[in-house]
Amino acid sequence: MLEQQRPSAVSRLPALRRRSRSAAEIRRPTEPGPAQTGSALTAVAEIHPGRLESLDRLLTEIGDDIRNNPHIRFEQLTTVHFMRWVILRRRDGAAADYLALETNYDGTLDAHLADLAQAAGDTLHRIYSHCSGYALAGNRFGPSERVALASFLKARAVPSAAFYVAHPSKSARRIRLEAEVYDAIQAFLDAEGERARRQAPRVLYQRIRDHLRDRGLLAPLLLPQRPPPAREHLLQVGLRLLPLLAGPLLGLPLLLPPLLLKERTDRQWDPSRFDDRFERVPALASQEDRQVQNPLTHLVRVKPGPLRRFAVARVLATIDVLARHYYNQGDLGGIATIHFARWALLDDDRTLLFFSNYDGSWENYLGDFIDIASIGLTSIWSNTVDFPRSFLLLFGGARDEERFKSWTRAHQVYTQVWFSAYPKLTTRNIADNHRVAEGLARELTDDDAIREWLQLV
Amino acid sequence: MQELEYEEIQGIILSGYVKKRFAAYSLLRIRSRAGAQSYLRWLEARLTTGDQRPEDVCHNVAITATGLRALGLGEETLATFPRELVEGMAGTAKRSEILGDTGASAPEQWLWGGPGNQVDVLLMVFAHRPDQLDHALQEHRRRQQDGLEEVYFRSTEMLPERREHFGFADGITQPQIKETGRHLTGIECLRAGEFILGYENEYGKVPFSPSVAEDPRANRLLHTNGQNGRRDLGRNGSYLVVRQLDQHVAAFWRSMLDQADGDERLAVRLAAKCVGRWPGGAPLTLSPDEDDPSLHSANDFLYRDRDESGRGCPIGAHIRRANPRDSLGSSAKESLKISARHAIIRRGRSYGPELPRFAADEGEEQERGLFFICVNANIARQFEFIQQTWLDNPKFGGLHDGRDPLMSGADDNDHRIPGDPVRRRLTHLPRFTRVRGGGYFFLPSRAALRYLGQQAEAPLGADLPRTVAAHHAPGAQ
Repeated sequence: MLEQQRPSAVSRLPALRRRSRSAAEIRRPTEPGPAQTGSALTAVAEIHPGRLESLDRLLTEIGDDIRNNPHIRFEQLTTVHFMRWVILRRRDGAAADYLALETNYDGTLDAHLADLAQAAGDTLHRIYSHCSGYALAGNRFGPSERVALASFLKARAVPSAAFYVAHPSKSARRIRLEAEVYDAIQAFLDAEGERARRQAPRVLYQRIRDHLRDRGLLAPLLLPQRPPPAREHLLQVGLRLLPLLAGPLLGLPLLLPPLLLKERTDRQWDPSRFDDRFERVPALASQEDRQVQNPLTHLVRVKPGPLRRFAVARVLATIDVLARHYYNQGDLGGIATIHFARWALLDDDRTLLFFSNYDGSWENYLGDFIDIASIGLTSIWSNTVDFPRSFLLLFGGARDEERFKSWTRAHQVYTQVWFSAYPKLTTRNIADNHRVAEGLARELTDDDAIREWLQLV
Repeated sequence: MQELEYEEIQGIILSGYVKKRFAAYSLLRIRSRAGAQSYLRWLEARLTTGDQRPEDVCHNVAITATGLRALGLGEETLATFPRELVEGMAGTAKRSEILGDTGASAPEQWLWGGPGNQVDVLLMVFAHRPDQLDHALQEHRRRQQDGLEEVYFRSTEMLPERREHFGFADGITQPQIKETGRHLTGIECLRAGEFILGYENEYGKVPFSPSVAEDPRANRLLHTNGQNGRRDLGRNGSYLVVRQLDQHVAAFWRSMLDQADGDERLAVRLAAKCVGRWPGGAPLTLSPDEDDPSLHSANDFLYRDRDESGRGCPIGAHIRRANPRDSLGSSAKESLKISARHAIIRRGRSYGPELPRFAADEGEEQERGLFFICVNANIARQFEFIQQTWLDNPKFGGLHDGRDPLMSGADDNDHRIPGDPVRRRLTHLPRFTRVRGGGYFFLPSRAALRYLGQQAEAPLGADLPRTVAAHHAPGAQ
């Protein structure tokens, strides 16, 4: 399902059963006013047998030089926050070799696909020529190919079982604007030096504002934005979760004994069997820490049997509700470093795909998983193969620090192509820049408010 | 709580030997396995372990991955060690990048531990008097003759009043091991498994430990590891991270003086804003306006309530990065937990003569700095995490741009100092430290050292060497 505003958990339920509906079918009418922001597209296409290596080469050429490669000028994209292409290989647990596309975009899906075609149509055409069912002939990318490519991707769109956005109401354009404003203020203050520190707060504030106005940066801050979503009361969230969880809770006497048994007998990851870690982990690490944000792609088989498939789908649906209605203020279960994250179920719920775009080091991210969010993550991943031993679906599991980190690395997938529209910003920077911008868009008059604002810059 | 096996644990984990003001570090390369093993057997009899209180001289020893290989451990055994140790501190370009070991600090420029001057063994000797130290070293050198050659040697003498070279009191924060039952105060009291293999750590887990296949030698000397029929080589051991950091003291103070437009008082104040403590040791969070001698050892403080915005101790200051206490994220409790899970025991010492504040240049004897040593059971989660995610992270604690002003691995650094009515920003700060050498070492227990010092016995098992020289670290570049 393409991530748009969904009114309630109930309306999400059919998506859990139906895997293959087209994007157009589930798209909702665009809201009036400022455009949608921070939606998700996941498209998974089967790679044509025999074309895997050629595709890998092409993607590597793009991914190894994301800013200057000859194939795609990513910075021309106007709708994108983050995007990636990843090859999901059969040996990593996929049912076939797939090419997965992740985008996090603003506006309608059609406008987003038009943006992709506009900026990189020829290269998209080349990339998807490696995939089964992509029937376009020739090398030319004209208007008819554009339509065909869009419907090809829509037909392969996979719903997110759970989707999280740090700043749901902010467009990529706005995020970049506010960062530019912040930088302009820094440059102004650095140039002012001691003079700035001798001025009265009110005077300094006005001079900053004037400076920004002169540079044309104040006017765009006054444009209307989507209002940020409100955090719902837990009771309200509980009501949303009721239809999802009432069944499993009522069925607990039936579900619990087999779960407890499986939790004691399921095989767990043995790090000493991670034979190729000296090759795989450095390869994964080589693409990390090139900038302040990092990608994580993770693919793992769901444990066999209907119980685990049912459990993982329900847990993810629960997390999706929480992410939309409760964890919508810049943190997911206490983790404040994630820009966008999603889980998607593939192969009839037999494979679980995870995409995350996060700030800081992998060690820090995984540390947060363990220290802050182990219950949520254990409830998801304990239903997948070899996860460290859990108890009652929620406990243990990710708390087994070294085993969990080793398991995560073992199922992590190399991300061939990964692009960020604002590679120098953390989620925290974005939130702080927003506060700075708010204090400029609305002229402050109160002395205390001005003093407080000056501490932000 | 498990009882520590003190007689097996090298003393440097448990003590900084601070009463012994003289120390020497010898970095060695193994030339012959038999000779090196014979030296290690001799050394094992003199090894200082946690059950001893030596009057005069202490001896400790640690071994790199190349050293373990040269002593006969096979690849199958090496693969049970952490990847960081096997690859080595200078082993991959990626590691150098995340540690900030680039430019003038790149391993190619190192005095030891770099590509041209590999190091296998680190010998550490501590003494009350220089003559005791010399005497001990002579003895060591005689015993090393047949098997080892010295790549680098560094002797140190402690600076007065616990100072480091920039002129600030150092070593005030040091985690204590809960199981020792000593000095058990407050937030810095951690489970033994954070620093010693074989014990539970802050996660309530016993850390992964390197192991060897069973054979008569292993079975005689090492405990079983309780799983997959192997013997525990790591138990009561740990990992040492060693970095030799030259400090550019004159450059540091010149830079502070520049930023202060020549005002010496302000320069000291700005330097304190870089460190997070006044030169005498008083924390800026407790004493924001001036040095307070009565607070010289004060360590019982938190940030969130008193100093959340960094008006006392800036968010980017060295001590706040190295130990964020309760200041991270949205909850003090979570933050303290996270701080506890990324702690190291520091055992380093300053080398080189002191330089007065505001000296015109580095002087004739230019080499001065910190021979940094830390103890941790998990190099990736402890030392590397602190270095990468806290010290050298331009986004630490919500900052926009700025690495550790003292220890940054970047040449053009910024440091934000909150103030009234608006912040001051130190800009274009150069590096004030330069990495001159470094390595990741396995710090063996007495039993493991005994194991490494003995010739392997027939029959030839999986642990016996193929060819020592032909092996490269898997994954190394």
